[in-house]
Amino acid sequence: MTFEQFRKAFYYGRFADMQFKFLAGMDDDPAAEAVAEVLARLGEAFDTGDLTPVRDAVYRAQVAAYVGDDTPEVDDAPFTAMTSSLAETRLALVSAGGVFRIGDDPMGPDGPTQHESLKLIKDFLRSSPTLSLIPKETPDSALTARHPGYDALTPQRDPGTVFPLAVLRELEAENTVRLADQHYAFTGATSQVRLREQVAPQWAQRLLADGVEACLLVAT
Amino acid sequence: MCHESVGLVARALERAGIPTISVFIQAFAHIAGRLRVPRVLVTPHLMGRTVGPVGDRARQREVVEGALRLLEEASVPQTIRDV
Repeated sequence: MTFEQFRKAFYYGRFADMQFKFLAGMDDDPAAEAVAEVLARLGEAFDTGDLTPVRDAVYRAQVAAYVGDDTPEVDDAPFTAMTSSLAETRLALVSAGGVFRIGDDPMGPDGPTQHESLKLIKDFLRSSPTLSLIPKETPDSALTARHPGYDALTPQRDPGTVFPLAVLRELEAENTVRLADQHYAFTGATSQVRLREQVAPQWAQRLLADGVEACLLVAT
Repeated sequence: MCHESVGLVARALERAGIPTISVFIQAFAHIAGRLRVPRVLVTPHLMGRTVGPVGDRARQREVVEGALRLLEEASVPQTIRDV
């Protein structure tokens, strides 16, 4: 196996790993330097017990790897001003992290596991996303997640990483915010054309009908 | 991809009259500019941990509070702030 084959195998290949798939998009030299840096910091962590430098090395490599993204540019900048305070505005959480209530899988009762979803990435990218409804009082223990674009084992361990509904409830109990009854999540790895042209405008009307007056969105 | 999706949803919500604040990670912050996302809080976190690390409720709360402050304070489109 060449080094190029090795780093590309992290992108839905033999070593498929959403934490490190960024290696596939790098040139050989910077990718080699990133891997060497992570291993060097890991070696130190065996003695220090501190994983922060390992995490920081991965973070720097992620930021460097994704900088050349080719997302299309747009001309207009829609903007709606806030007209009342947060305490008087019904706020809803909308996460792209693929979170849903256990027993309410948007792909049905036999929906794929996180691991299985990676093999379906092309199907996700051709399909329309589904909006999962998550009532305000849903505890973190009743939530799970699946997403073929990042490692959803993280929100399975702690939904607050991408779906901070529990924090929002804390803030509401302190009268800082007013929450809507319903909150929302979807899988952001999806058809961008369908989302832009059809689904997102429909969701906007749905949220208006639900009485939502402002949104906190979380990207993954 | 996910950050682009959130940008598209934020733009649709704003067009419908719903103000939004989007939380992005630094690795994909450039997408906010390309899609002219109305209000964005950028976090220095790893992919998949946009709001904060597993079990770090204090950090998650700090990010949510920062996002809500930006939602209230931003008076012009494309307001982008680091947490």
